[in-house]
Amino acid sequence: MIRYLLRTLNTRWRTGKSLLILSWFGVTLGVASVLSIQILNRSAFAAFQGSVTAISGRADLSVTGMTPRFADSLYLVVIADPDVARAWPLLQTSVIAEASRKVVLDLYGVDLFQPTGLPLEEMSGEIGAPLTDGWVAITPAFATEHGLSVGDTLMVSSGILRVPLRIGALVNLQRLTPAANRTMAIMDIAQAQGLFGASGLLTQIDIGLAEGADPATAQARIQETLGPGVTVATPAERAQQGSDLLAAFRLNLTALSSISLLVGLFLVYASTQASLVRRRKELGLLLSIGASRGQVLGLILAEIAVVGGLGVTIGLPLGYWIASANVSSVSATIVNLYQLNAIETLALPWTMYALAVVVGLGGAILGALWPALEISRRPSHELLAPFTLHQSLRSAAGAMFVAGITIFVLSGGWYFAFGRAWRPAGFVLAMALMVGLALLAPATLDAVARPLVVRRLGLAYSVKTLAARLQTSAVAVASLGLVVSMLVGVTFMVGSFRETVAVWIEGTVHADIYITTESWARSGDDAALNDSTIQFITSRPEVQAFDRLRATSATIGGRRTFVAGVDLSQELPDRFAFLRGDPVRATRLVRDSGAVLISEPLARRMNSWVGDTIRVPGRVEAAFVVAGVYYDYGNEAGAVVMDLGTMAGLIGPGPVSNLALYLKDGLAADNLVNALRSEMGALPLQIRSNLALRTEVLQIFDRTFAITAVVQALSLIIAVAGVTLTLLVLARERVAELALYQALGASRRQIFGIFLGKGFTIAALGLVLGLAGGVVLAAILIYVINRDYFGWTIQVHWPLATLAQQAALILGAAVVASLYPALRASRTPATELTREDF
Amino acid sequence: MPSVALQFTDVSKTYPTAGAGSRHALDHVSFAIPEGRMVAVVGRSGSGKSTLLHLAAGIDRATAGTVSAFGRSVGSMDEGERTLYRRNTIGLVFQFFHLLPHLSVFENVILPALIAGEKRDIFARRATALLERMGLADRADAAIGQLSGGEMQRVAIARALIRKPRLVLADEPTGNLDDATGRTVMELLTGLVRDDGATLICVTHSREAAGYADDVWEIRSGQLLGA
Repeated sequence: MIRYLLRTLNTRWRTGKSLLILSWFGVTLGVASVLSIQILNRSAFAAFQGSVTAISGRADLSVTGMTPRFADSLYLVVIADPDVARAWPLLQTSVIAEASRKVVLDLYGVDLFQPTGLPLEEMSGEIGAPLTDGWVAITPAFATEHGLSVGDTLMVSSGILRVPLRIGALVNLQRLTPAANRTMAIMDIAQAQGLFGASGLLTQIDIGLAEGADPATAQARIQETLGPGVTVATPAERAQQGSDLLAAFRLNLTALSSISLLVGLFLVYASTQASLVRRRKELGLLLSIGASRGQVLGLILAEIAVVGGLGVTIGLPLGYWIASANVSSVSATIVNLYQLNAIETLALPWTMYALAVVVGLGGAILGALWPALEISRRPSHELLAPFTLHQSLRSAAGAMFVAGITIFVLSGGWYFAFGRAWRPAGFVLAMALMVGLALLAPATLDAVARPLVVRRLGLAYSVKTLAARLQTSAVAVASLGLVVSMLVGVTFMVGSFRETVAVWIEGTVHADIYITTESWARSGDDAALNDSTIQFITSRPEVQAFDRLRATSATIGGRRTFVAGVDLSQELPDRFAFLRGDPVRATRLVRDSGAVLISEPLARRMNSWVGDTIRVPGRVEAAFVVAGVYYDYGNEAGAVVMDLGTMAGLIGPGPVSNLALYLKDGLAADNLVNALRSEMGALPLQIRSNLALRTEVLQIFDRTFAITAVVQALSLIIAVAGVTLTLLVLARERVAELALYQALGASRRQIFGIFLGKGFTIAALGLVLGLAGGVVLAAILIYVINRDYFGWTIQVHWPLATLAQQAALILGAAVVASLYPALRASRTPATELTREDF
Repeated sequence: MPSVALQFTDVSKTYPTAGAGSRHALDHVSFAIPEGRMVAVVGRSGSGKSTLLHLAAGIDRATAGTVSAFGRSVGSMDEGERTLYRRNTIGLVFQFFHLLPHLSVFENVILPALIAGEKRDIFARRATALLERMGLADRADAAIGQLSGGEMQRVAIARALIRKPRLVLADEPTGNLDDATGRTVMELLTGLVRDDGATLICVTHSREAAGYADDVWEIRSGQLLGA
């Protein structure tokens, strides 16, 4: 049988190259699409985990605060616990390093008096050198990238502070874990506390337990001793936190890439179907001379497994390449949206290879299984006779249509009755939509073709002949319909989202100039302005009014949440677009009564609305009445806004981090921006006009969705390849019919036109199905998945121009994909008229 | 003096075979068939009957010699001219009918007219008349799969005659039918051809079918006897 298999493959290659190639293409792209997303997902998590492991890899437990910092006196409490053998205090801050260019550097202040296990190299100076003069150890990769050496001075800024650091050693954190970020740096904790205004404060305490200590018992006791202002977590729990943080982002990308795989499977299905119909007599002969059904089935599946194996071989490196090409946009999203570490290396563990094999081989076999089972079960006399095989789908088309509608109704009913409380329900709805849509395709094509009256060898004739081969053509329509649904749905959602964000910015970003420090985006709490800088700026004659914002963060509901203090005493244009609550009343309550505003994502996450209370950690945890809920698209975890005075009461007095300037009428913002940059160039400030800020926000938005565009493009390529495959299959199956046309006097141009018409029909029907499905999918994405996972309200905007462009592109691509098969078909000579069935 | 509908002048057709050899499907065949004549060519399988028809229809080209139809050399036509020749001059009837299952009976009959781009009302009337003559007027909307073998061949004959071709080429028209059905089909075919004044060449291995023709020739190993 193996020899027979090899000969069959050889014959298929010689006589049906295009079919084999397209099958393999579908598997390859499907594997590449899924794999690239999983590599990026995995790498995003690994980047987070790498930082944690590099610093805290030896810890049995870690203490972190509900607020960014906590008093270092807690260290003494920890070390006094009987189960604690060692404890490592840690202060983490992110600064802007003025290296070969300005880059973020994550500084970790550690107790260098203790054995840290950190792989320090090329240490210079005396034993006490690390404790003075801003001594810092950077990674070799960072040093190489920026042309730095031990002994060099590295200027960094944290908020308004500029601090010179001295490179005293290299620390090869990649030796501890390959995923450790190159932008990590180590210095003595006391120096870090003193230089960056964090005296008496810590970010974290890592704990090494005594031998024989029970981690769970120790964890519970230490937590109780330290109180609710901190969290004591195991490494696994910390990893889970990171995983949870990225879960929504990763899940959405995975779902998108799954559609590419699904469409790839359709390609395999279509080519297998075509191949088996063509070989039915061979298979009927095998059965009639004594081969068992299992042998026939095994033969078919073995052929497919070879195609799948080839698909994996190419799909794996292709997937890696796609991931590499998109790592910067995904990384930017993770940094901007979640304030996590950038992805520097792509993780390719053995599990990715296993995934590629499962997806490629498994997917190929799954795609071919139905036609293989169907044909292997038929009696041999049926396989040796004409006419029978293509009737089955036509007769089932009606039932499939009903099944599709039933799926829509049942899934919708389930959602509204039970599913709303279950977070993944949106994905179930989306999957039901895809399955249902595919089931509608055969009957739709049949319904369009049946009433057509053929008056000449034109489009109507193409449609009729297409509908005659439903088993082949409906698959192409279905797969294109799925891809178009995904394209339309995501385009609709992203377009609506973008427009919503643009409108939101328009409605809330009113100041003329926004000023913060360069380290604000990454370090938040530490990125403070000082009074002299604020005084200098706000006393400018151009400034009519100004707004101040003080930022910190706190852990609310298990997630690090933005907490902002603003000055609500001033009469300034609306800074918040309210979802719930009266703006005037709410502002008054926040200003005068210590109430708070919360952002929509936080409200949904905590199910806290106007009138409810929300607990915010500070020096002690305090409860605040929610006066209003506002739209906020800058932060997925959510935000709490309070008056500056209220914030001072919560966390003590402190500096602001952001200024917003309102200029006098008629003055151009750019002039003042340029003047301030010129006069204050020595300070690490970020000074942006209103327009520049809006532009940047939208650029970040566009970058966030860049990866979805890649997945969409891959899916479209697969679906368009499906059009080529389908038409090639039709041309091969219908050789006698094509020869008949020639014999009856049809010109090559006419036959060419028939096939172009078929390609156009597949595209048009796929578009229609896809548009309908896409609108529904957009609704699911906007109103269900987005709300459940991100908590944002997206106002629906119809991106008609974009959709029209996509429709034209799809139609055009399908027509182009039809050219080669149409050319092949038109060259079928009349001498091919044989006894083959029609 | 009736003009010559089809003339073969020293026509040979050779096909290459595996290895360095070749097979002579037709070997120096010469004949002339006047317009309006019905000729049956009988012979066993592989004798060259179908090759003769293919050359006459311009589907294939002779290796040597000249094939002429109504005074024009078929072999020297380019592809476009041969397409038009088949479209406007030839009507083809096949042993295995070669009807398209996704078209109805009526649509199969009018297929040559669709290819020619004729106006529907013109060919629709002719198609209806032909179907009536065939006794299939009430099956016009039926699917091909619902017809018997004899009915399918009648539809095929109607298709071949829809555009009143001057030359009808029938390849084993009764080869797939029982004797009684075959007789019915041959009566219809020869009757309609005669009514249209067309020329018919019918290749068959059935002596009974050949009996409907004016002349019966025999082809044996690529050589024509009795022409």
